[in-house]
Amino acid sequence: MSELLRATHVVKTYTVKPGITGKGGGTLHAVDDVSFSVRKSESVGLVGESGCGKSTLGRCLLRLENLDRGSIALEGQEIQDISGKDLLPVRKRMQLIFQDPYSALNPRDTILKSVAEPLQAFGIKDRRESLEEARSFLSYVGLGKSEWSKYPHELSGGQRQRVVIARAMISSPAFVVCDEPVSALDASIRAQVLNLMKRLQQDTGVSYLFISHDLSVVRFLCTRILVMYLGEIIEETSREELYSHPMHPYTKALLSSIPIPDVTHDRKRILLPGELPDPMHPPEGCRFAPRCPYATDLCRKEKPASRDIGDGHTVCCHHI
Amino acid sequence: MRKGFLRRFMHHVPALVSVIVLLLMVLALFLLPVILHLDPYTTDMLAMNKSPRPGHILGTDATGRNILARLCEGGKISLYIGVGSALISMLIGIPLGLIAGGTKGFWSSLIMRISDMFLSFPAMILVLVSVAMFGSSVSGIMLILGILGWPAPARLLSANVMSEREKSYVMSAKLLGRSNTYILFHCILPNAISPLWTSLAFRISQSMILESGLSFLGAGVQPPLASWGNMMQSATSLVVLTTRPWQWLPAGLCLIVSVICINFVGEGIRDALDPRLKLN
Repeated sequence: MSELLRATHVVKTYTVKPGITGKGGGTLHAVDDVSFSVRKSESVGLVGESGCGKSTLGRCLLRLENLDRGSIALEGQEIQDISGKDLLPVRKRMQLIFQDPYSALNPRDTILKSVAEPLQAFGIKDRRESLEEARSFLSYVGLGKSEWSKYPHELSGGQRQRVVIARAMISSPAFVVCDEPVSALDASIRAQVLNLMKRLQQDTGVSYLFISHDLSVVRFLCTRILVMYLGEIIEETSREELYSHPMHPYTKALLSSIPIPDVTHDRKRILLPGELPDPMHPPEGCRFAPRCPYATDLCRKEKPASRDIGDGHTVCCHHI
Repeated sequence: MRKGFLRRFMHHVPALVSVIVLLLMVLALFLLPVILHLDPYTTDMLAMNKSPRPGHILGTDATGRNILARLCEGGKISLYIGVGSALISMLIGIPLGLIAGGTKGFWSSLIMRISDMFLSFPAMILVLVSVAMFGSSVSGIMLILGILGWPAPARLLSANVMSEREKSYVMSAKLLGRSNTYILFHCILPNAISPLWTSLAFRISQSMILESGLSFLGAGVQPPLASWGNMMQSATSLVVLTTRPWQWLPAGLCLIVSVICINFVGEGIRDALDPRLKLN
């Protein structure tokens, strides 16, 4: 499989203005030196707890945010400095599936219009043809004729998310960022939507970057998984390897938090003390050290480098 | 959408009744003087301060002018000032509100601070001073009330634009390569503007009240021109207030009824425009 997207040393910081007392200002490192790649027709999972920078990374990849440093290459073309009209061909190749299906659709547009809009905006088809195509695409994602002229607020959460997916996928993008697409849905709908996304991938060969904090969802869809902590990727490996041999202490703790539907199962949960450190003042050395049960003086002083331990499994820890 | 709007509006009973009342009222203001051959400026020297009687259905005022004729004339002027000044407020407020809500930084905060200044003055005093400075012609009053009324729609619109532009569908439009101007006018504005129609109705009624207050105090529409406000001025005299209710009661009632009706219509428009509100 060939490479579709490559992010190299991506850095995104935000400047926080000091308050009236002159305190609280500084630089917030949302994404700090992140490198990874996505192959064609591959699903990559990006997991981590709230506030670790996974959504920001997604927005950077889609050029909704400008990078501070680093580069992003889509199909071999560097896109981090493209702007204005030249960005349109790039936009055509990438899309985003939103977390909240309610606010992702313009409340004044019927769902048919919302789904047809990308084809017109990208100049792929004229108005009549794009409406025609939107109709058949809506049927494909499971929304029948009676729903086409409805407004978003008239649909259920699951139906709305299907519309959001249809809107993202109708222009046949090569790369789609899914920003927690099922976390606003209840469990029964979740499976339907995930199956739809899987079917779309098989039919169109799209690549997903699947952002989630829910490891069981990621496991279902993704073949390779990145674990993010405080703006850095700390472990990257295949799905099988991650779930059978997690190496980083943080990944181990994350995996132990997945509920197992068996009352007799005696599981050991790894409870992490404390919360995600303040990203304005990240700890020196290993960023996970303050919460890590195995941390030593080395961890607190020196930042561990990312190391390959075989089969494309990279870990960022001193003790591996 | 249009069809849906009408249907939704029809379901709002108070608004529907109000529209009918307002239409009848406007019709009466324009047709009654023609049908009954009434003139608001003719004085009947033989019938001063007369109670309602044939020929003077609502009686006469202190100079023998027909109250019904003056009621119609005053209503026209009051409505004209109310609607005109509300439109002027919108005309100034909408562009400024869009700028304040759609941009960040200097212009946005400048507009908001100026609107703070406007709002921090008591409206009546400001209007009194402005009228004293610029004269009290009907169009002058309309202009002054209009200019003083811009902060309300501007703030409402800018707040709505600010909350709408953070929503995901705006990001979604950006991902389709839409320009910021396109997004502002095609995605954000239609979603942010509907409360303004309500605000327009409230501006109309508020301006009418302000105008009446002003005329009542003698600084607004000047006699011999009639307005509902200066007709009520006669009630400042205790004798008129207690013994000649026909001279001030009709104007007051008309003002109350029209203001209430306009407010109901505004409410009906608001409910009908919001696609998220469900009909029951």
